[in-house]
Parts: sequence; C-alpha cells; structure tokens
Amino acid sequence: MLDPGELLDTARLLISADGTPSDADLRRAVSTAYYAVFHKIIRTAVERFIGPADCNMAAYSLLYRSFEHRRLKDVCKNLNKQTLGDAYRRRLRRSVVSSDMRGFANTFPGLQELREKADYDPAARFDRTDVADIIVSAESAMLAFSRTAPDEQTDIMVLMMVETRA
Amino acid sequence: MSEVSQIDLERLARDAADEVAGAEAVHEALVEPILDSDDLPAYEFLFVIDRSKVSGYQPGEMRSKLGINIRDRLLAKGDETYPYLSIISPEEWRARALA
Repeated sequence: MLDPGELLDTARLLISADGTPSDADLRRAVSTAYYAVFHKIIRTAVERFIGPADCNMAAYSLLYRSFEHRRLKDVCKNLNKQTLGDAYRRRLRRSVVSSDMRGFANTFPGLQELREKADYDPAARFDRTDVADIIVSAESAMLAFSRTAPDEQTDIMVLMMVETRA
Repeated sequence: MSEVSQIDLERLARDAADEVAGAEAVHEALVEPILDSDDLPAYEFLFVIDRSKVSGYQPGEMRSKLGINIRDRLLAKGDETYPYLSIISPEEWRARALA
C-alpha cells in the first residue's frame, strides 16, 4: 500500500546522498514530496469513507482513483483565505477554516505547481537548500492536515471528491 | 476581481518578505504575472533570502507564513490571482545570474 510517510522518506533520501545531488535527484525529490501530500489526503479520505481494513475492495480503489490533482488544488486555493468566499461558505457551512487547514491549503497548490515544473519544465532549476525546504513544507502540510478536526476534514475531503451545487 | 499593478505587486512582495523574514535577510523580492500549469493567471514570486539571518521559525514555517501573508495582501486589494512562491539563497541567485 502506498505510504505517504515512506514517500517523504524517499524524497529526503534523494537529496541526502554524499556530494551534490543531481538535477534528477532534486526533481524527483520535489515530485515525490508532492505525491506524499497527495496520497496523504487520499488515503485519509478513503479510510474515512471505506475503512482502513478494506484496501482490497473495489470501492477502495475506485474511491482512491477518483481524486483529481486539479480539483484538489482548486479547493485548496479557495480554502486559503482569511474568510471563505460565498460559495464555499454555503457549501461548508462555515465562514473560516482552522489555521491548520489553512496552513495545509496554503502549501498544497504551490507544491503541485513545483511538481509540474520538476516533472515537465526542462528550464526549471532547483537547489538543495530550497528542495530541503520544500520537503519540510510538505511534511508540515501533512501534519497540519492530520491535526484538523475530523468533521472539518470530512467536509473538505468530500468537497475534494465531488462537484457540488452551492 | 481587480488586478494589482506591477509596481504595487513589487512593493507588496517586498513588504511581505520584510515582515515575515526581516528586512536584512531579504536580498530580492521579485514578482511576475504568469499562467500556471492549468493555464490560469497567477503570480510567481521569487524571493532571495539569506536564511541564516532569519530566526524564530521552524524549518518550512517561513515559506508557509510568507505564502499566507502574500495571499492575504492580494485578497485585501481585491486580487484573487493565486501567488506561487520560490525562495532561493543568495548563492543560488548568483549562480543563476552566471548561468
């Protein structure tokens, strides 16, 4: 089973080798750090709605694969506000999100954008210090997401899964 | 939704970085309108920050604080354009200039 923590360990390993990490190491580390957060959200959601012991169920895989990168980013952009916009206020029945949820939401879109650059932009440059910081940010985002109250998490994970009318 | 002028964006970038990292740590604060990976208008902020002169943060925390600070400043001006951040060291900045 995909383990977000192991992905983060892999990202760290890629830049911890003796000497200077290669450009490929740095790019894979950025990409892997993003995927650690992506899978953290999905795994949390699927285990909330299906249950942790049933990963062989078709429903587990179907739900797991239902998450889209773009939608997660869009939701996070809308959550990254001091006060939610009207549509999100109506959907979530709250006007603000917790500071931990906001911290997570603030980090996720940037990580996704960095992952795009790392994977597809030949001109993008990464240096070890910045990548180390990106990995720490990914870990912080995962921890912040874990700290949020279950009801807030549930509301937002549903919003990440399904398009709803306001 | 309104957009902020380039001059105001650069001032906003500098003010946010000075507030979060401290003015003496901030070497450059640059911002450029871009299209993001979804082809949506966005801002790319590039900060050159000497982390050895920044104190009071856990690792990774400064990036998060700076992101939220910039987002709030933009929204206060009515600009929903999403900001993306890069933070590099003065050494990396010089290396890029020579590349």
